Amino acid sequence: MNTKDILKAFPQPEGKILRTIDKEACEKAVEQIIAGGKKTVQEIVELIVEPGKGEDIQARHALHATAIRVGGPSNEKNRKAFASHLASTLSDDRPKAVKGFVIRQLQVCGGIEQGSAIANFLTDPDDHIYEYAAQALEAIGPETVTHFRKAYPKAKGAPRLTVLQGLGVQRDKDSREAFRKATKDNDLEIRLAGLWGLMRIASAEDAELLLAQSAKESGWGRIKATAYCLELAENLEANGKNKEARAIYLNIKKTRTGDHEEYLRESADRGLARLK
Amino acid sequence: MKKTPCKNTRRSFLAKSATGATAATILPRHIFGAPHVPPSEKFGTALIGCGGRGPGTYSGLCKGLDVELVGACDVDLNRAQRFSQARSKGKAEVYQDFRKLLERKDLDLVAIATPPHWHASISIASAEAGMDVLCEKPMTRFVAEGRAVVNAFKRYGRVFQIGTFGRFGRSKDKGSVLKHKIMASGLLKDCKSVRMKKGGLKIKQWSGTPGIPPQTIPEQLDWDLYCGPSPWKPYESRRVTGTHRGYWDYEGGGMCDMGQHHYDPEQWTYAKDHTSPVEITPFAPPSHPEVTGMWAWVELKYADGFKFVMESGEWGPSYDRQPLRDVSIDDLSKEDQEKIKAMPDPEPLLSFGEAVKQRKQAGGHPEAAHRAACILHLANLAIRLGRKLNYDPDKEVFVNDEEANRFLNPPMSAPWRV
Repeated sequence: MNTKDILKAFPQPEGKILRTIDKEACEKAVEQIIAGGKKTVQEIVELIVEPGKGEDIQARHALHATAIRVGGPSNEKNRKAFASHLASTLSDDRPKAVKGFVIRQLQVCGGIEQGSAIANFLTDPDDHIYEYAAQALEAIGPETVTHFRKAYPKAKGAPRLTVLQGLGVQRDKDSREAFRKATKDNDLEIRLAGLWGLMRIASAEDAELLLAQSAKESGWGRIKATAYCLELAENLEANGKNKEARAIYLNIKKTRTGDHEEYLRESADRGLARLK
Repeated sequence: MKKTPCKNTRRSFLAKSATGATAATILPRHIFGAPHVPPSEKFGTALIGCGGRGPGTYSGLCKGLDVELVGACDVDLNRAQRFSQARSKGKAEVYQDFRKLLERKDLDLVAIATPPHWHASISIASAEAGMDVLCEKPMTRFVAEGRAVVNAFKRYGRVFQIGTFGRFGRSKDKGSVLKHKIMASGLLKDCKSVRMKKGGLKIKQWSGTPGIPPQTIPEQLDWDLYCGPSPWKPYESRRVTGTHRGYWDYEGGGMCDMGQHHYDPEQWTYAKDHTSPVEITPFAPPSHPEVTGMWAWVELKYADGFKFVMESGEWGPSYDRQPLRDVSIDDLSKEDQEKIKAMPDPEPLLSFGEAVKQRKQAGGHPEAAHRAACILHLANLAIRLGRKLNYDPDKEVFVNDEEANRFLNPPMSAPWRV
């Protein structure tokens, strides 16, 4: 059966929604896509177009359904093969918006083997593809962290924040220096992402940095930076570093003296009570 | 961050008003310090998300409290301005970015009625800024957000109430209280009960429309801020103003729109506020990547054997795996029945207003709201994944299903993170 015929199992909108859908036919189509291998996957991707440039509802539905169905326990062989076929389409000449959709399917079914193909887009600011790439790599897991490390020095503009946040998501202790440097950046969101990264890796030696920076910030920056200090104290407590956690709580009590910051002093008191 | 300048802001009014009599009526709550709240105290309030359910949610926030609206916030400035005009004759300052609103020192209580993909992030930020929160249902867009909300409100000692109130009625109903006591007692081993919700989950009404071409972003709308933590997508009008419910990026269809109303009281009745199902079995066709769609039924089994079943009644076969059966006192031995009779009734649930005044937990507290939202998220994930899922309610992860776990905590778009 040719690919276009396989896709007919998936519904078209009726009265705007996909109200009539044949489960059995769709499941059979998924099996045919898996059996069709790389050629079928590439043909489906060829049918996907940029939003507004044509009709591709069935192709998107079929590709996603297959990405989902190859996941789960005892399905590893099909998952690896399908993810590999999907990733191979990322090097072809096609619109970034289409590649973005493919990357989002790899977020569902991809593995570390697809890391490099996805990571090529981490610093690409077009069509938010850097966000899709970062989110796919984050979903695949901590073993993708090397791609974020390599991309960060090259990332400019919006991708820079996304990649820095990705390092924090992965709790990358090897990026400690990058996080520290980021806390001194001119951009508030970069500073906050740096502080968040240090909190995520539970860096006791950076507690003073977090406290000092949070005291310098104002408004939203102060709210978030203070939150990261309190979360760092909890992380340190979880790691048995009660002395360092206590120092954070005492600092918060001492420095958050405004009437509107009473709740922070109370929060620090609760932390101190836990440590007793 | 964007902010609409307002000539007569509350803060500037405070600065200009030097007289004690005027100032005393509008001082923020934390000025008074003590947890007990004087009856004359006035709370500074704000609404974030002023369309749709917004005004109703704000009314719920104000119930039983002396309040003054100080801020109205919406990514669509027209809606924020309309709300400020309607509820404060335009005195409440208008914001497009909630971050600027939360910087206010005269703000105590926040009502959140944005689409659900923003509920967790704004709730957490509100707690971090020292505010109590009433948040529209569903509480979250995915499971990990709920745990982060629970942790934040615990960390800051703030009050949170979810915007559904059926459990308050159940907690006063004798039959429901009896079932609650039976289930909470732990005396019922190997529970055979199957509770079904058939229909009412608005499957077709809140299915999305796929394939709509991108449209021009309205001038008054900050589209990037609307997308926020969710994956960025080109603007088209069905992604906003109510029909957002049909898109996985923002909500979970009728399941999430209506599910928390139904399952929050059920969860209280059957004493499941602190746990989640362990096995989730669906019957559903493959889902579309962007829009919510059809499903037939989902069975959710708890560790004690108790089951919730959802049947859409709008597509596919009926549920026929087991007969329906409620919990009964007769399920227990005579000796255990006596123990149930001797059990005290559960503590009365506090309304949001009572909880704020008494600095205690509200009836729809974060853990309960999170667990109720988890019922919906787990059901939706089983529908989307099309396979039986095994869930560890303590660790809040799927067992032996790495791909399913990717949906429990999907990465957010920077700078948003929980």
